[in-house]
Amino acid sequence: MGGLKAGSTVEIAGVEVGRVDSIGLDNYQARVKLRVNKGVRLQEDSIASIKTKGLIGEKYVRISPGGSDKLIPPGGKIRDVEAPVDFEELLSKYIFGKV
Amino acid sequence: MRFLATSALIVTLALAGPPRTLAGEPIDQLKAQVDRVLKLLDDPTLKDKPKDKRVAVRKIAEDIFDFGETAKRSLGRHWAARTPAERDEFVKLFGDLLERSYISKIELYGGEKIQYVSDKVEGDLAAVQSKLVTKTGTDVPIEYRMLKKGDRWLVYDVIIEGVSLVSNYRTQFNKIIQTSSFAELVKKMKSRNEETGSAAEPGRRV
Repeated sequence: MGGLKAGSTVEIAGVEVGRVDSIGLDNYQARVKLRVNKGVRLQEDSIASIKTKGLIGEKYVRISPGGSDKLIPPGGKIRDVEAPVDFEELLSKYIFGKV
Repeated sequence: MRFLATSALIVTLALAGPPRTLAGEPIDQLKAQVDRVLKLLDDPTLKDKPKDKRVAVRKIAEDIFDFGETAKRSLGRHWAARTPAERDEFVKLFGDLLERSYISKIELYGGEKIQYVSDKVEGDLAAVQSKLVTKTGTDVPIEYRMLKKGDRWLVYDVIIEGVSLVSNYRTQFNKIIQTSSFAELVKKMKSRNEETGSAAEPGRRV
């Protein structure tokens, strides 16, 4: 999860709308539980991305709202996610090639 | 305590784990369509006809992608405010944008290997993990997000090196609409299409 932890912020358009509740492993998949403020409605096709504040700042979850008229119910799942991009790994891969 | 006050909605997100090896319907269908594209690129009768080739590739692309769904998701929450006519026009312009950005690049394909790693189905959605192996041996991970329409699996998002196509366009479109307007976005997309439309015809190239 590259540094995301319980308590990390959840943001929409740069505004904090919640916090990461817990992070766990479920069948070798990372599962992140988010606690989102009352009144924040998330469309079924919302995308959750794990982002870094600035270049070396802390990790947070950014949610970009979708266009679907169906909403994710409490306890539901955000199905479209972007894992954190590891820039160091990416850079070295394309600069030095892979073994 | 903030958590007590804000405990209305708990959602979870899952990130891709290790690959599974069993290939299912989404992989089979995707592979069959991609193989059609590769075959077409190898077709000697189309060798010197880049325009015909592009038209043919776009046609197959329409069997692979659900352009309407990709366009809707990329427009995000601005989709709801659009009239049916605006939506139709936007989907068409978005298809042209994808053609310009990706399908035109397919000419650059030089025999890189495509490996299908795994697929995972959850209801009417699926994720296919694949990788492109370049000639220098670098793996580029590509994930296809698909949804089921009838008995066909169609791609609505492509995630390359962890970066989602829909998420990328959603951010850009949102920025343009918020700083100007939807009409301005459409204008921008139209003028871009006209520029490349003329560039695609070799006779008119300066």
